[in-house]
Amino acid sequence: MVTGIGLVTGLARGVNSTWERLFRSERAFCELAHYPLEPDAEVREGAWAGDAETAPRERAHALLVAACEEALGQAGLSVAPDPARSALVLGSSLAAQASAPAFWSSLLAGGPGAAELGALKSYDVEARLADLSQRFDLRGEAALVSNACAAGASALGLAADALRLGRADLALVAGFDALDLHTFAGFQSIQALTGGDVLPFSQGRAGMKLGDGFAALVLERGEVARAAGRAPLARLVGYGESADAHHLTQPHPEGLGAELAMRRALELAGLEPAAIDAVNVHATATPANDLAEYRALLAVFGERVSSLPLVALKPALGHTLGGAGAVEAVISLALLLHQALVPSATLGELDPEIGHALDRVPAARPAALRHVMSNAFGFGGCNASLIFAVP
Amino acid sequence: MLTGLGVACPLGVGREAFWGAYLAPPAEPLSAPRVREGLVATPAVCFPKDFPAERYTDRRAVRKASEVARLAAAAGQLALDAAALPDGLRAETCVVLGTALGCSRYYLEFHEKLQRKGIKGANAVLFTESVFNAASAHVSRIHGLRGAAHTLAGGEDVGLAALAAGRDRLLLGAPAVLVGGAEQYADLVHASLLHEGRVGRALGLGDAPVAFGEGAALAVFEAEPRGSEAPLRLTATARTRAGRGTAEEALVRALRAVCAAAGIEPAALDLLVSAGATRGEVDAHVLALAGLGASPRTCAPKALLGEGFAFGSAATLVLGAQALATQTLPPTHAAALPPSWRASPEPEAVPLRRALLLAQSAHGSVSAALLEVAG
Repeated sequence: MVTGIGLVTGLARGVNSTWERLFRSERAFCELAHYPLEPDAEVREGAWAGDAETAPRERAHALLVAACEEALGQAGLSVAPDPARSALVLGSSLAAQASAPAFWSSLLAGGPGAAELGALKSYDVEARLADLSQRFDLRGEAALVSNACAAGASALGLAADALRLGRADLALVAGFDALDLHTFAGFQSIQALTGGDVLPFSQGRAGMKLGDGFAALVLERGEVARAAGRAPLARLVGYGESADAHHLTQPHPEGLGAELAMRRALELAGLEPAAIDAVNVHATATPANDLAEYRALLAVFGERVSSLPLVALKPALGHTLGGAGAVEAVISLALLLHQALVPSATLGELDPEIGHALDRVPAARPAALRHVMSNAFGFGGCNASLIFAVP
Repeated sequence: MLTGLGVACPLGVGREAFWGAYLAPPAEPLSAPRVREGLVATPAVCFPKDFPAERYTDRRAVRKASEVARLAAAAGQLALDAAALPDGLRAETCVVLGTALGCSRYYLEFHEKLQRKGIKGANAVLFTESVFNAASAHVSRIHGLRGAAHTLAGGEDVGLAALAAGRDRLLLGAPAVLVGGAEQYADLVHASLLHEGRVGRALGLGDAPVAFGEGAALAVFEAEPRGSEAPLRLTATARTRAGRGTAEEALVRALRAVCAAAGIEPAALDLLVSAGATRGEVDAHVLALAGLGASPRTCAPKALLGEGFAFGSAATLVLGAQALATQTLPPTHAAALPPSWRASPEPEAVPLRRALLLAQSAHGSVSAALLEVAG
C-alpha cells in the first residue's frame, strides 16, 4: 500500500498545491531565458521548478530530496523505521547528469590541461542512491532503473516486487528528471518539441514541452503499515511492463507493447478492463505516440474507450521524462483521494485518425473512482502501466 | 537455470575464447587506450578500435549504435545463440542490463557539439544513443524480446545487481531473462574517474595499477531447464546498502542473506569470485566470509580484466559458471597472493559445487549471488 506521496513540478512544490493548480487547469510553462536560445527559436518554453541560478546538479538533488521528505513526512517518518528491511528504488532517464556543459566550457576554453574533470563526476549516478540511502537510512536493496520515460513507473514496479518477494517491508520510490539543456536540445534534434500548445490526441498536434518532475512514494507491506498505525492512501494493485522490440524512437504503430503492458497490469491485479474507471494516459502529443496509445487502449478496452475518462497531464506539467511515471502516478493516486478528474489543460479538435470519440476530460469534475490506470511509455520502446485502487 | 552465456571483451569474445584466454593470458599487453590529444592516458584494457559488433549480430542494427550498445548486443547475441531460446519464449523474456557509465562517449560528444554550435547543432543520433537505456533497447529490439527491458544504473556492482533483478523476474513468473552488464571505455570519463581517485589505484597484487576495462557479459536464465546438460542454477541473490551503517556491516548482511536464501551455511561455499579491485577490497570479502566460518577458494579477476564497473561484476558470473562447469579454480593473475585468499596464480582442478559472486561499489552497495551445480 501507498502511505506517503511527495511531488515537485513546474506547477508547484507539494502534492496539494500541484493538485489545486491542475484542478484549475493551470499550466507550468515559462520561457527558458537562461538557455542559449536562438532569437528565432520557435521552442522557448519548459516547466521549470526552482531557482535557475543554482548549479544544475545541486538544484536537481535538492528538489528530489524535497519530494522524498514530503512523502516520508506524510507517512509519519523521517528515516526508515527498520533500515535493513527498507529499500530504495529510483527511476530516472538522466539521473540528473547535468554537469557536462561545465566540463566542456572549461575544456574548450583551456584545453585538456584546464578541463574541470571533477565536473564529470555526475556520471557517477550511484552517488544519488548513496546520498538518499544515507540520508533516510535505507539499508535494504537499492536500484536506479533508467529506462527513459517509463523509469518512474518501472521503479514502482521494482519496489513492489521487493515487497512481494518478502525482502523489504518498506520502499521509498522516486522518479525524477530535471529539465536541462541536454534533453531540451536533444528532443529538439528529434523534432519532438512544440512551440505551441500541447494537444493530446488532437488534430495537428506537434509534440511536447519538457518539464521538471520529482515525485516520491512510500510503499509498504500492508500488515507492517497497519501494525505501525500508518494509514493507506491507496493500493498499488497491478503493474505490467513490456518492450516494443520495434524501434529506438518510434512506438510500435499498433501499440503492441503498450497493450501488453496494460494487459499484464490487469492480469496481476486480477481485474477485467471494465474495472478501470479512468486512465492517466502517457499522451506526449506527438503524432505517432498518441495514435499508438489510442490503438493500444482500443485493443484493451474495446468500444469502452469512448466513455473511459482519459486524463492527460503533459499539457499542464510538460513531459517530465524519467520522472513522468512517478509524477503521474502520484496524480493518479490523487484522483482516487479526491474522487475527481483533472482536465487536460489544452486540447484541440480530436484527430480524425482516431476512430472513436474520446473523453479527454476538458474540464475538472467529480467522479466515482475505484481503480485508476497510469501509463508511462518510453524511448526505446519501454512500456509500463500501473493500477492504483482505493484502500 | 543458466542456459546461455555471452561475453565480449578484449581478452576474448565468446565464452570459450574468453575462458581460454583468462586461464592463459596472452603475453602482450591488453591495454590500448584511445585517448584524445592532450589528455593523460590512463591504463586500459580496451579494444584498440571500435568493437566489431557486426561480426556477431545484426549489422544494420548496430551500425550507429554507441560502443556500449554494440558490446551488449554482441554479448546478448552470443548468450541467446547458446541458449537457443525458442521463439515462443521471446515475447515474455525480460532484459536487465547494468551499466555505470552508459554511453558516455556519445553523451559527451553530444555536449561538445552543443557547446560548439549551440542548440541547433544538437545531433539526433548522438542524443538517442546517449540515453541510458539505448543499449538494452537495442538488445530487446534485435532479438524480439518483449518482456520488461530495464537498464540499471549504478556503481561497480551493478552488473551483479542486474543479475539479481533478473532472478526476481523469474521468481515472479517470467520464463526467461537476459541479464548482465556492459561498459565502454571513454577517455574523458575515465580521466575524470582517475581524477576522483576512483580507479587507477594500486591493486596491491603486484606493481601494476588497476586498468580501466571495457566489455559486456550477458547470460540467459530460464525458469525451467531444457535439454539434458546438467545446468547451473542461480540459487539466491542479495543486495544491501550501507545507509547510515558501515560498508562492512552491509557486506556481512548481504552474505548472511544470500546464504539464508539458499538454505546453506556459509561454510558450504566452495568458491568466491570477488569483484574487488584492490587488495583491501578482496581482503574485506575474504575476512567477512571467514567471520561467518567460510574459507572458500578465491578468484579476483580484476587483476587481469581491469576495473570494468558493470562488466567487471557481471564477468564474475562468467568465471563462476566456467569454474563450476569445468571444476577448475580460475587463477588470480597477480603476484604475492595472500595465503588467506586461498587463490592460485595458475588454474587448479578442484571439486566445486557452489560459487559466490560478490561485488561492492565505492558508495556502499553490495550485490551477491550464489551459483550452484544443479542436482
